Amino acid sequence: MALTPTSSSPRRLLGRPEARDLATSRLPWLMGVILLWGAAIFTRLIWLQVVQHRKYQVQSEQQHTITVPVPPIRGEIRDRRGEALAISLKAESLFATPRFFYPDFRKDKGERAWGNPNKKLAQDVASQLAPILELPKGVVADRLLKKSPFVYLERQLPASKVAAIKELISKAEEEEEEDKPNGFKALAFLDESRRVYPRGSLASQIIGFVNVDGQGQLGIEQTSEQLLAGRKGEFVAAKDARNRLRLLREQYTQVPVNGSTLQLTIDSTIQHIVEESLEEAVRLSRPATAYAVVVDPNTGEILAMAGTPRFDPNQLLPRKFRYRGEGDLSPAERDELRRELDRQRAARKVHPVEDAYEPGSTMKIFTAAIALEERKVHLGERIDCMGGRWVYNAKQNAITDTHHHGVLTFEEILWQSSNVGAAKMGIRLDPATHFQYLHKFGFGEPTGLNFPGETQGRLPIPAEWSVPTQYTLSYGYGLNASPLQVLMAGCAIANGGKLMRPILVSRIYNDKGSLLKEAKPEVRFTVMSEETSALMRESLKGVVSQGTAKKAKLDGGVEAFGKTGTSRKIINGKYDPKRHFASFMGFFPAEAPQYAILVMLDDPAGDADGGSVAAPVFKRIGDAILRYRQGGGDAERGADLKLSLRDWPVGETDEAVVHIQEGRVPSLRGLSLKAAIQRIVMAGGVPRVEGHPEGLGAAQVKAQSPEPEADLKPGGVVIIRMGAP
Amino acid sequence: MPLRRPVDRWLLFFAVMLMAIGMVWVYSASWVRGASGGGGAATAFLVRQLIAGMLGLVLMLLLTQLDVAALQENIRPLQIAYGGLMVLLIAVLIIGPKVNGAHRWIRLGPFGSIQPSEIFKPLAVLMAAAWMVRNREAWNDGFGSLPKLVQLFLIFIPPMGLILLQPDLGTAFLIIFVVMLIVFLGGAPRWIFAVTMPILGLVGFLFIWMTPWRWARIIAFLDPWADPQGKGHQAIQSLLAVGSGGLLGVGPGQGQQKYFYLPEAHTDFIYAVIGEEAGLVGTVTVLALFMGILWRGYRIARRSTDSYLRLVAMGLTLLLVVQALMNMSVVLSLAPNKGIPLPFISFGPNSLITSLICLGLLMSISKDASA
Repeated sequence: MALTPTSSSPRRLLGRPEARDLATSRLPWLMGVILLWGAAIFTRLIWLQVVQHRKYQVQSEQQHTITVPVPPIRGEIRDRRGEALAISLKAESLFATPRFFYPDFRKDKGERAWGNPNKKLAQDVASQLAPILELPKGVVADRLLKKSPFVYLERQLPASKVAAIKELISKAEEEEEEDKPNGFKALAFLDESRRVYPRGSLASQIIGFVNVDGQGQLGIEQTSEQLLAGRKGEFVAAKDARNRLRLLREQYTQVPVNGSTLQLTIDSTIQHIVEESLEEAVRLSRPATAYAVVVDPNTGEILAMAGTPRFDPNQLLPRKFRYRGEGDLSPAERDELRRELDRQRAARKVHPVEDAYEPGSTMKIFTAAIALEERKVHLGERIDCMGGRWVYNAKQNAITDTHHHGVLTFEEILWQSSNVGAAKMGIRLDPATHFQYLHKFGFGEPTGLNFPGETQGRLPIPAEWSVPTQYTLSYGYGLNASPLQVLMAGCAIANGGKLMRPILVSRIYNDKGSLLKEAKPEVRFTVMSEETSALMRESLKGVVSQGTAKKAKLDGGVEAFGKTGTSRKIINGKYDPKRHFASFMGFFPAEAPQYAILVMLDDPAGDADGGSVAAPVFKRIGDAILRYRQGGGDAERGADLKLSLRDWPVGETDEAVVHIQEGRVPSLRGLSLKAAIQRIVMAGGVPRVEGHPEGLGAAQVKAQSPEPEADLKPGGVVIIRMGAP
Repeated sequence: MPLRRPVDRWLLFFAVMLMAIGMVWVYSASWVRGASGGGGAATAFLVRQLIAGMLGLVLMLLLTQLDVAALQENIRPLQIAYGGLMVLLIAVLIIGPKVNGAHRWIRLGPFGSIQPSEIFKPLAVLMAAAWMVRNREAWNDGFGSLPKLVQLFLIFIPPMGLILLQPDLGTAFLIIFVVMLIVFLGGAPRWIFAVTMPILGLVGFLFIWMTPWRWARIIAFLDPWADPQGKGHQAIQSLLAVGSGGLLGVGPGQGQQKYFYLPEAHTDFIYAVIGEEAGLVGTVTVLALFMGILWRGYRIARRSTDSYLRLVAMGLTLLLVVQALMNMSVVLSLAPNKGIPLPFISFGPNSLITSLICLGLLMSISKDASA
């Protein structure tokens, strides 16, 4: 202390009241205050961390965790050989929280006060998003500012767009500054699944489609909604304040259950044959609509069911009409849209089960079969057909035939389709018995298929019958039925007398691939004896060989039998002599029928009857099925579906994200079907799978068109052909 | 040479404990931010803090050898330091980059940056103490003490003005508060405080009231739940962090609040992160360590027989402890947010070095049984 000789010590010795002493006296006082301050902090800590700990813990938990819904993957729909008809891919939808753009937004007692929007911010976000979404900037901005808690900007985006938008969001986050709102915070993604129909319009009426919310809207998608949809799962995850998930503490509160996979009885190849044949028939005969059903008469399994026009569930609404109000469209576009919607409405009608018609001549085979079974008639019995005109009651209209037949045998009545002959056989029956049989054939009763919109037809009970009813019932008027009902009844004649319940869904697998349920063939009624059935089969061969349906004769000497039907349509409450339902119901091979086909042309052009317009369609379908069968198709029914389910690895589809470039055809050879489809969809294309009759198993892509690296327009079709590896 | 005691080892122990805790929680609270910042590493903040710690410890060791008592007669070094810091405080306004709306740092390229307002803190203590001791006769002189106090006031006006211009209200407030405590302990008449306290209070109120964002901070302090997403956000998040910690905390590194919920988690609000991760045990430990520093500082002051050393020791102790208590009060919503770091713990190389300078000076005084 050399430098401070005059420090405090001498002064203290003098005993004068010094500042130092003041400091000494004031110091404890100050220390007391500081200690009090420390005590206050201690008390506060006890209060916060002990007394109120639970409250804050709950709040903090709520803040740090988020319940993430895990949408189930919708089940698949396969055909009888395991070929995919409807599959689901993961897709992300972009949504916004518009509240973010309303700085003065308040929520008071449930009332929302929006205040004025920050338009500049929304427009800034919109201008960056619009080019990626390929939407006009104004549309995006309008959506961002919509006064709603939640608004979709775009549903089910392809992966490349998702990546581009996520990049924008993270860029905005990095450049974020205090006191300057970041509009991209209002955006977020939602996982959804996207339905893809690999075969496009194939069997679209049976399969149906899903709306943008993933709910089945038609056909199997609608009837089996519960099974296909699965159950939504949830897990609780930690997140940071920027709403990014931190999947450290993931725990399912509800495990998601993916939808079940349905295997249909439909055979894609036969379905394809039927659809092509119907298109051809529409070109030739110009009916209002044409439809056909193919059933295995022994089991009731529906192998194909189709009608015109068709629709492609992958492209329900042309892109140019999406997100545009009626007002934005030019008159020409509005017309186009209306036509398109009308066309689709027509296309969504499943005529074979929804339409009820009067079966007409087809009915005669049932009349004949009943009479035969009841021993009221025998083969070769000659019946006078009164020259084609029979006045059975003075007060009623005469029964007429198109040709003037004299006396015909039992068989000839069927071959020539004589109304008079059929009526004479019919009235030999006791009305109650007649009704009983018709009932057992399934008329006036639901078929048990449970298809949406299905009609059960109408069969009057004997008490309601008037004088002519039994006469007209005998040749197919005075009752109505759906084509499927008629075909199932026909199958009872073909299969030895059993009315089968039609089956469309043969097996149900859960998401692990194990079989949950299998539909077994079900006999609803035994309508007649084996013997009668055999006699009817034999008799009806003549319809094809020498009767009204010569045009239905199949190639390669395969015998078929069947019956034409030409029934008048009721237009404005009256039978119109010029407008018909022209149909042919046929079965082959005749000895042991495996295929039952009903072809219906609704109102064909000109004075066409079933034999001239429907029978050729039957022949075309039948020949094609026979060729397909000879080519080795089908055979092993119910290929190993479990194997093919496992054949679609998730990894393969995930990895695809890296390699796919939008607007360029991806390379697909060697991939599994699902992976190939996923890549096509991600590249912005529409997949179309060509049939591969050699069965599935572990099939892979063998050929594609266009070739890889070619330009791909949005919505462009990429055809892939599958084959065994 | 007068008798020399060994340095106060308890003081060193408390400070080193606080530093160790600081290093752990600087890493825990900053790694998320470090890792997500543009190309940064999780350890980016920790490494900078460790380097500052090394530098600070070296400075501290050097300062333990300084003869603090010499500064009361020979005030030239203080004048030089004052002049130098004035230059830096002016320079920071001109060449300092604007970060979060304030010019606080002078960038030194790869060597980090200097925060002149931090370094001014110990100097203010040394200056105020020297002034009080040099003019000790005046304090018993009734109104005669007024000119001396006005002069002291005038000495502090330029640096305080410059710090407020940055603006850095928290540091300015802290310095004024501690200087007033030194004036109080130095023996200034009581009536001075009866007059100046209301005046300073009014000026402070006007200053805050006229700046909308400062006023908003006060409002947010009084009722954070009025605007939980905006102005009250920080206070609420801080309470959530502390409250959810409970007795033992969620475990070091396991806290959730640092995931961008809690603003300034690694600097001004690091105490909240400690509260969340180490619970009441952690918060009380830190509080106790600061109380320990207060205890040792008080003991050093009591044992020193030199008025100047006694005032400096008390001033430096108060500088550290008052700053810590203010920071904790803000974190616990007992006081409005002022932007004051927690000494030894909060991330901030300048703050850590300054705290270690104070520690070095205190230890130097503790050795000095002189006087």
